Amino acid sequence: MRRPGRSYSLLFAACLVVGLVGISLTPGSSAPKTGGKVRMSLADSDVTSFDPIVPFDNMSIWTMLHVYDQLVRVGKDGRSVEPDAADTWKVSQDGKTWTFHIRNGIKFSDGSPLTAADAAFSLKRAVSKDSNFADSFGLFEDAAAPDASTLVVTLKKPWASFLAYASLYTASIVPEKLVNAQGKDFWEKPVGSGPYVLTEWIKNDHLTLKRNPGYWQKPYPYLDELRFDVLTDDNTRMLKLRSGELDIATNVPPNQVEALRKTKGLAVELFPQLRFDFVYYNHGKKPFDDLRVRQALNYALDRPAMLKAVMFGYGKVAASMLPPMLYWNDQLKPYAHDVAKAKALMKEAGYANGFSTEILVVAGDNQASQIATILKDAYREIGIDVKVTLLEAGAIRARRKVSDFDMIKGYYTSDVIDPDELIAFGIDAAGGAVAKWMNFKNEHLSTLAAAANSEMNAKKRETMIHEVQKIAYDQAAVIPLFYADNRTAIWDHVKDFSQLPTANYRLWEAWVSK
Amino acid sequence: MGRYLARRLLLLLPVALGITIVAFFLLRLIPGDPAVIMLDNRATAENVARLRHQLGLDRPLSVQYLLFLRNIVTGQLGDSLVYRSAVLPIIAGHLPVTLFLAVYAIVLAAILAIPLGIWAALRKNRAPDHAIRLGVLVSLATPSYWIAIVFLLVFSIHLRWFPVGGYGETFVDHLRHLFLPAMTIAISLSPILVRTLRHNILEVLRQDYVRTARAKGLRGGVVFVRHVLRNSLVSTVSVLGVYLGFLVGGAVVTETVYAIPGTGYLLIKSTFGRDYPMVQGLTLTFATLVILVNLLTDLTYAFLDPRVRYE
Repeated sequence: MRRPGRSYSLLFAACLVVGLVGISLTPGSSAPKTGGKVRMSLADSDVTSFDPIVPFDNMSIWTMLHVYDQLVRVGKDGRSVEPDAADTWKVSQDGKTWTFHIRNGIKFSDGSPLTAADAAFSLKRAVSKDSNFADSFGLFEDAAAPDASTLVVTLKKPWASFLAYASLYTASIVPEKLVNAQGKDFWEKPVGSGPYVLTEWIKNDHLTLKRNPGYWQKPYPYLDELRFDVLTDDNTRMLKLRSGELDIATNVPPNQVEALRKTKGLAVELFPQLRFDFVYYNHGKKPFDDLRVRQALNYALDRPAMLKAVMFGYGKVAASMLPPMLYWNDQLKPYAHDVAKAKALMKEAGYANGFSTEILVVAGDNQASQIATILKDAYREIGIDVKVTLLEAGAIRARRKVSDFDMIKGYYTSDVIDPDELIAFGIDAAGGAVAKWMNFKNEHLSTLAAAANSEMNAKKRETMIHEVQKIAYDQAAVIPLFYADNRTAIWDHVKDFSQLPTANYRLWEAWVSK
Repeated sequence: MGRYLARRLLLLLPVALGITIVAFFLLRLIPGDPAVIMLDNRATAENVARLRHQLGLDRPLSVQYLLFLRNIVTGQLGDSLVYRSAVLPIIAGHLPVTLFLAVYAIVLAAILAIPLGIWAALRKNRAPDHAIRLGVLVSLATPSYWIAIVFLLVFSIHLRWFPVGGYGETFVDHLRHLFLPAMTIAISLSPILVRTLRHNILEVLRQDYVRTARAKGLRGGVVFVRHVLRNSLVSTVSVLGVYLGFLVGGAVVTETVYAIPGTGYLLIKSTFGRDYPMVQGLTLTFATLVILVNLLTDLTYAFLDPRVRYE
């Protein structure tokens, strides 16, 4: 008769073996596989150009980031940059000279080496008069390549966010010789050093990218092929996803998220992005010149309810004019929904009986129309009669140019991890955009923003940028609404797909299990 | 015949010139600046000015129009504002898809409409006729984008018989990919054909020559096919010619819902983006097509109806 203990230990051993075998055979285990392809949608438009200094649309930008390398690129946390074509760099004491070491052995997809001269050429293109982004590089002075692997960039003055801008698609590194030799034709069949190579571009239909076998970062990319289908119609895009003709569908309409999540094998992921939705008013016009009125407009609004109605809750209600990002001021709290306080402020400002006003909304933008309708209802409670006017974008711009408006629905997104771009675009009148359009001028804020831009000490800079956000908040510069999440639907055979806060994706890290 | 053809082709010139004027100036009446649309929320004054200059939009309208005419004469249609590359190869790439779809839709519409039209005419004012006429009304009143979405949900998502959209690579692929879209257009097109055909058959049945043919002792089937159907089809074909414009319009909606890379989809996208050269190029292409098909329709008359002579 065997002792029971022994049979138990045998049983235990057997279970262990079976268990181990089971684990190693479980599909979807974490070891990435090489090969396969992924089909993904381009939801806004077709790619329009592969010339880094030309396009403004995200589809071009995000696709191009798979074809070219930059000196550095946005890290996965969305708050830092990491090495790309340059593996190391240092900045001089005075903050005006940056020296980059170009990675040894890095090659373009045609096999030719990527040199510091190519990097210098590409940076100079980005600041040239042909570049649509020259003003992003206003503090750039020169770039030189003393040898094949050393790039020296000189700046007009210290520029704290320079590295963030060096990761911009505009600063993508292209082969100098080929670009000069082929001219315009080069951009139809571009050559870069990124993880993928463009092999096919059927305009307004699809693009195919194949893996670059010589890509510097092993073991990436995993996927042999990426196919991007231009699918701008929301319904068609979701149907293509459900039928399995797409592996990843971007920009899922908020009202379809729940339904898609019920489909077996489909996940809808929410990725926070650097986007801010708001309503701005004309500070140069009565009654918006009165801080109390602006505050009343902010208090009268039920932001969580709006977020739920418009975005089905996929996002966060906003306080700061910057979305959650580097140097974001988390001390600012969204204005509470307080109708009594709003009424009191209106009375104090001498508008106890309210007033009539108008909000301009881009025709065809359903989300903006919904927001305008919600505002109209909310402001009726404090005696304000809001007329909602739908206009074509150009018509809104024309009225804005001559300051002939009361309120406009707006939004902005950031291409870089540093808040500098959005401060210039949104908050600081010196930036010549939103703040200037709405006649919001604050000298202290402008001085701080300029100082922050050349402050090389991160801690001090953070304090300054926090202050910039606080001034805008205290002044009720705009009506902050929400920070909307990116909604992306993914079939479960696609692994390790993620979207950065800059909303671009790193498909070289993704792989498929089937 | 030769002289007739030459005159018709010559008449094309003033028509084409008229089309260029309409295409060019009407397009610019639509509010919206291409530069502003491209820039979206980056449309600062400086950006807009620079982009307008790069795209040549800051030149006087008359100069832009003359450049457009010069481009046409030299056999080009200019560069797309969006892609900044020649318009013609892009249109040429999309045109076969739309033509395939149009022909496919006509074939399907004919397969649907001819038997129904005949049946309705032969059973005039009886149950089948009433049912067919009701069906015609319903399908006329149903918007094609709705049909498209229902088709997609039923045949692509639930039954998985057909892909959701696209064009495919081979001829068989095209037939499969374009079946639902062609059917969608055919469903909008066939009621018109059914009604016309039914009406024409009834008309022809009353003609003396039909009675004569019957009196001569010809069999009913022969009379119907040789005398009634052939004569009824003449005017039905001319209706098809007229409806080519409708087909192109239908293709715009259908191609958008099914995401088919044809000219209709391209037209929608280019209009939203105010890609003037692309829209102009497409308008010219469509106009030329409509004119050519109408010409072809006129010529088909001669084949179907020997009484038609060209002077």
